[in-house]
Amino acid sequence: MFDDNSPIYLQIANGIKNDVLSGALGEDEQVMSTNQYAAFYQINPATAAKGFAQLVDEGVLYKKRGIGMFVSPDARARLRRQRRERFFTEVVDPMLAEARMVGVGVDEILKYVGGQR
Amino acid sequence: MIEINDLAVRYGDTVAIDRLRLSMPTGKIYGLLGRNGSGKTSLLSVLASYRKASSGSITIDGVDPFENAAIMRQTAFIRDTLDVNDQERISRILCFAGWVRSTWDTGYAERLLDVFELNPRKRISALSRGQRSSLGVVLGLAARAPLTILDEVYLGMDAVARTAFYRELLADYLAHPRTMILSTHLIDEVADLFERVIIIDRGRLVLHEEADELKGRGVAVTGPADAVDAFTAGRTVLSRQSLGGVRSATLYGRLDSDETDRAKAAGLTLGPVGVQDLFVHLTAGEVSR
Amino acid sequence: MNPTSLLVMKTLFRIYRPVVLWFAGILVIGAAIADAVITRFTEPEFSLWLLVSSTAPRYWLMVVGIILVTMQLRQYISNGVTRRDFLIGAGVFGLILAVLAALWVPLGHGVESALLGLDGQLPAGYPPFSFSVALREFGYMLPGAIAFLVAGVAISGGYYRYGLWGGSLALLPCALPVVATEAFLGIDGQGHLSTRLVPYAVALAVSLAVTAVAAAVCHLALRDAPIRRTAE
Repeated sequence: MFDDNSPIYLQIANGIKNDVLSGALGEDEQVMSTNQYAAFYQINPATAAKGFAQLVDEGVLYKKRGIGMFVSPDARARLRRQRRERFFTEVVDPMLAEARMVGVGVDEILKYVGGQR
Repeated sequence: MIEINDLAVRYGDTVAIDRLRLSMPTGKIYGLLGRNGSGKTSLLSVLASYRKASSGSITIDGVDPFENAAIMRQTAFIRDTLDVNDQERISRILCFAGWVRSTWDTGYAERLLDVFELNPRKRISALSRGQRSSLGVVLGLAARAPLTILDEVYLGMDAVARTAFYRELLADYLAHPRTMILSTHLIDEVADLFERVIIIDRGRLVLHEEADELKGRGVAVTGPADAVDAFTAGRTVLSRQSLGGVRSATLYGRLDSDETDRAKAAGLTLGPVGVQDLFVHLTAGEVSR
Repeated sequence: MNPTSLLVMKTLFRIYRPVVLWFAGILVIGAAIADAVITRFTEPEFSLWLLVSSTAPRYWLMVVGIILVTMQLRQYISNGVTRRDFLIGAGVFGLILAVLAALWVPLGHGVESALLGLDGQLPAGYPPFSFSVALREFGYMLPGAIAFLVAGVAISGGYYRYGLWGGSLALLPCALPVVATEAFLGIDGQGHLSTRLVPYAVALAVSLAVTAVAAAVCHLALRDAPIRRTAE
């Protein structure tokens, strides 16, 4: 599940965001507790807690005292907005750079993408 | 809180721990890393009151643990050699621990014997190295001591037993949070269990850091020799390697996005450095700046 | 004695109970058989029991003293007991063991003399048993039993704390309690008590004093001793 490159808490946060985006985690649905998460993925609970804390800070999750953590009602919409903004800078731009390097023209790309529709 | 102040441990002329300073909040899982002879066992021995410090001080929750009945009662120190009588049977050793330790959990100890497939009828002298280590884990975890110290207890354990060890350790920590200190060489397989990592070398502190922060703490910069040298000038370089005109340097520290962009613009490739590699670089000797 | 040292003492008895019972059993049965054989063929002019029971337990106590340091110290420390509590608990345990070993001699002597006198008359040269004899035997045995135990602890303590060379240097002074007791208080080949060189009171005082000094020095050496590894 985890790679060596980036801190696990970021990977945890990203994993849960992906679940929210894909709909695997619905609005107001309860997420695993840090202890369950730690036991399941064999990681230190403090690391898991840090990942969750980050999500609470970003408003993706909210805490109910004594019960646990839940997905914020607007989390999915907000995440989508963020990811859409990043989509062009993080996905399309590098692709175009690569295309330029190997001599693939923009027309060719458009044609290809058009064929996928 | 465990406070270590200018601690020194000497054996005659040999300095095992050299003016070590360390503050360790309790209730966390610590990984203590260091090469052979770096002073790990000496440090742990002083923590567990197995040995008196030559100078300096250690306090646990504000008091000196040495010969302090309340603190020693709450400490379990498992050494790779095990402090048991070789002629005795496993059952007898667990029974003795149950007599003496007020926090001992007999049922849990029996469950752990099953997990590690240890036959309680067996004598210690008949155990393999790995089985001895497994028994050490049983003794260490079932003691449920608020300060649990496991000094290289995995020696000789196969991958299956080690996985069971890590799983049980984490599960028991989650159920009964306490301070656990594990010294190890097998960093990559346990790194995720640690909340904090302490690296010592030649009796001195090299690093004390949140384990998760260590990921991405090292950066491998690869590219044309000139470009690498220009980029790494003024930074902490842990190691350098060259092949023809290509050079690879391991940097200590995180790069911000500006620096990353600059490296990419200079035609350099950036790669991650694992915790194990970082440890090797940090303790392998010459650290040049 | 605090609860922990009391616990040390109690658990030591639990550990040693089977060993003590076996040792005592073998001694009793051995003496009984030997007595039966001897009295069948001859009139013994000595007490076999006194001969055996006065010497064997002393060496056994010395071995116990050695094991307490080389083995049990580590086992208790590794289960969270302080050196101080262990030394107190083990000290009381050893003292009680020594008293038992000293009581054991007149007790067996009484039983033996009763059995030998079953047919109405004791063998001619057999040391007669009485309450004052029993008291004297106890008075002779106790300092020796304590001395052997303490010597065992001191000798192994010397090696434990100061290693091979230091321990070897300390060997002779550590054996002093045994030397002092053996020199002054003895039981001869016929099972008769003999006070050598000095009166009993002086012998007792010297033996106890030397033993106490050895015990105190040993306590100093062990109270902050590093706990050695098995491999060392």
